[in-house]
Amino acid sequence: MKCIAYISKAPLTKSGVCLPIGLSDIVKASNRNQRSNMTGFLCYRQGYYFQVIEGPHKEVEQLVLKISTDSRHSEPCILIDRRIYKRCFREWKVSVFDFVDQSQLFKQFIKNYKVDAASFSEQQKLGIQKFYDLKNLSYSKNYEGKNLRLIAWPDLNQISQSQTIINLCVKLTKKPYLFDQLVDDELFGTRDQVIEALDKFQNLGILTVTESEIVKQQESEIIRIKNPSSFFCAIKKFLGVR
Amino acid sequence: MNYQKLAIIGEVGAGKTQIVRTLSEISPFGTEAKSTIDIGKKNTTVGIDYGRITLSDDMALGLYGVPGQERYSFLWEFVNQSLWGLLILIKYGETPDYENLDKMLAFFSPEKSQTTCIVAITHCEDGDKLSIAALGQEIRAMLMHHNVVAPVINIDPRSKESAKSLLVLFNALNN
Amino acid sequence: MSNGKVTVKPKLLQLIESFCENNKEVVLVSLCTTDGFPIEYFSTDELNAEADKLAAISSTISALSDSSSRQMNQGQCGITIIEAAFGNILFVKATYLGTQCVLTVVANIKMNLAAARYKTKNLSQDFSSIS
Repeated sequence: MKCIAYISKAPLTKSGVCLPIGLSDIVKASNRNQRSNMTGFLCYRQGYYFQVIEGPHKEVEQLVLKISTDSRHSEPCILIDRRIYKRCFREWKVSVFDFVDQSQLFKQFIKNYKVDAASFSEQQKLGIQKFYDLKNLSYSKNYEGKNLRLIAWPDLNQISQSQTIINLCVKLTKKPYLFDQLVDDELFGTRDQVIEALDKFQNLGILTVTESEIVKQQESEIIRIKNPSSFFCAIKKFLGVR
Repeated sequence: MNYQKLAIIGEVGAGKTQIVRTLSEISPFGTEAKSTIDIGKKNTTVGIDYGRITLSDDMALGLYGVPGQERYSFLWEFVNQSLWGLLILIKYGETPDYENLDKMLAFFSPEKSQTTCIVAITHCEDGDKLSIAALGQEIRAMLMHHNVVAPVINIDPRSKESAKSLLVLFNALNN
Repeated sequence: MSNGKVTVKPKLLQLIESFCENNKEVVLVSLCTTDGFPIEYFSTDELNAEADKLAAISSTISALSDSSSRQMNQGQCGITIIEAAFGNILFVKATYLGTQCVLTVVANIKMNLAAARYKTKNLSQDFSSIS
């Protein structure tokens, strides 16, 4: 059996932007690994792919050769290429969310393969940092007295599409909101439910938590309740939304 | 008269004409032509799909579906004023034309004009969850590049409930 | 950008050339499919437009005119005319090698509208006879 792990870059578009073009096709194609003898995982983050493939020697080599000529990525940088006697991953996994804390898969990889990141070349370190830096990121679960803001919408396939969650996302994507205000509004569930949702956003890396002093000038905006426009009310009535 | 516009853009076959048909209370005004290339259906929109939702005696929401191909970009100008919302439809199952999406986002610049924007993935009812999520990820990367903070959701343009949930979201975002 | 499926026959080119030779007031002739793909395009130097954009515009106006005409219970649209400051723009449906097309002719102000209309219609009929 063999294991190959590599990092590669997502391609540049004509306008010079690094985008994971064809990611959904890559996921579809990589899911075929589930049906074959391959285990490991595929991750995508911030313009980089990270893949670990374990399986029979010949099949792994053939797959990696095929992947290396795939135009949907470039500059593959091999991190590991070694014979193994035992698999470290029980199954094939795909983790393609840009913001997700992928340290679990990565921790497993580092631990099982006894990878010493310090021994990597500069090029290898540069690539691995896209996935490795999350390990050092610690976030506070204490939201009391803090301002909260979403820097992006979550994937609503991962987080529930319930009206409460959507309303919470609407609020937090527009401007920072005090945690205490969220709870007091009683529009987003109980305190525990609000914390649960915020924890999910934190895990996705899309929630910013700042001290309330820093956003003082916006506090008056947060507190001032905007009167809904007549058009808003008319649409609500039309849609039968209370 | 308080008349607002919802512009619906997207590639061929994404479901623009269908969603206007689903939401509009009037028989929608369409500009279709027989397609000379294989697009998976007989007709394609070459102009504006127009529909309307009357909210009261003096309030209405106009629905404007416009083709997403760049050669029809002159039509984008007709709908790029005082928009209540911009809905971008992307069809699951084919790699989206990101060059075109890039041009649409650059033209409409929802973040500059402060226009509420939602991206909806269509044709995903039978899709594989993970690859739909991956498509969502591709789209979000493009949105981030344009500094657009917009939800990416899955909808079925044929379903009234699904289409209405879009309006609920637009309304919540516009409040 | 064409759809590559509609052949440009020598007879088509001949007809367009001869039309322009005999009518110096014509500054543009464009034939495109109803879904906006250019087939053939001729313009004088004074009119510098992109063929694919023009094809898109022509298809939109033709489709919009047809829809409008039906909405107002006047049946199918025959010809759409834009009377502009410096000339007239005519859009007429045509058939070429069995494909539904839109013929666009731009004539400057030196050609009167009646003549432009008559000649454009004749040209579209000539296209239909190409096999």
